[in-house]
Amino acid sequence: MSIGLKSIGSYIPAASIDNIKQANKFGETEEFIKSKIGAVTLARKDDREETSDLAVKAIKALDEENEAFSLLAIEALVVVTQNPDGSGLPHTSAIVQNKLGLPTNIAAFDVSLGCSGYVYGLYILKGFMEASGLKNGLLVTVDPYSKIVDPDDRVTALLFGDAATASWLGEDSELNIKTVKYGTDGSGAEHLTSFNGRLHMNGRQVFNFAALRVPPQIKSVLSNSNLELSDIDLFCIHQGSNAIVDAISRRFGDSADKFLKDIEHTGNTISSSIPLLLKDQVHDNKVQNILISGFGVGLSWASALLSRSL
Amino acid sequence: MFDVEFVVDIINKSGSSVEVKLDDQAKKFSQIGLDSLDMFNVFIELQDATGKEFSDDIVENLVSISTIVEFLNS
Repeated sequence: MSIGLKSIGSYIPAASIDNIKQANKFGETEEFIKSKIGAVTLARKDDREETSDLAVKAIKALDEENEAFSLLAIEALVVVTQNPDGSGLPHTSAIVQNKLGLPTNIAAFDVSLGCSGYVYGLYILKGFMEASGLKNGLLVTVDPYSKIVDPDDRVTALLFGDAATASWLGEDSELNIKTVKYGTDGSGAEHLTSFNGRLHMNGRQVFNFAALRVPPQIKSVLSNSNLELSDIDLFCIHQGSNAIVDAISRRFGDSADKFLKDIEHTGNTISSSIPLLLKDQVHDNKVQNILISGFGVGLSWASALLSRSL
Repeated sequence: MFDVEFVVDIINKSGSSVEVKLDDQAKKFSQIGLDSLDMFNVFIELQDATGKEFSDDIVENLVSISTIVEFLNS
């Protein structure tokens, strides 16, 4: 039995912040926002919406878009978040189980990871399902940074948006989950952290980390897969900002234009940015090999190969 | 010894949004049109090319091509 990726649903709140107006407040130009940040608007959840509510909406979207999907068949639910409901006790996945009326014989747990969380989550859930003999699992990403971003902090206020995604994992998948590489360097933890309920980021240090650590890891995934750059159809890497995607893609020569960029109306949605990019690619048979890479809080990074099931 | 031409070359290879010229050496980067994210890339390329560490404290004072040349030769 091999578990792979079958489909992805998503929820992006309709409300948003005008990032051009924010730029003016901080003395930045419209050009800077459009070319370097990439997000003209930042998606924002309603204050009354909890993290679990966003998760529920993403799962419902997945349900509506997939006839073969059944909520009652779900046997495992993993929620990747570092901004859970309340103070994190109980785990948000248990709250989601109850809100959706999922079966009570379900396995449900949270995973505490940031922007690398989707890549880790795919392997956590795949391994858990294969070891337990489960056939239907859900990997949810939902990390609403609006809970911790200080609107007066220029470094973070222009970047982050709220969103949630739900990935359906099971047999007879569209994409196989293949080679993976992980990385962790806690010595850089202070560069992206939360204390007293507020997010703090050293932008240059996080940028350096991503620009220097991610390209060699991606190349390592390729060499371990016996693939060349030309074999990869798309690179769906974490959308930290346009600038960081550009800084990483520049290191891949002619393949740079295969790196997707799409945060114009969302912002950096943490662990949701990769599945938001992947959503439209999962069912596109023209796309054979996709390289995914997530990087951020920890500092933590992970890169993997997804290949079309034959 | 590192010179102005070396630094200008690095900046122009770093993917910055404007092309820098030799006679920009005394101007502040903000005057030339290089923003904070351009400079992130510049310091990564300089570190790669020279092996020098650019700590946050040092970067704070590197506001022009001339100050970078001075730091590299210090």
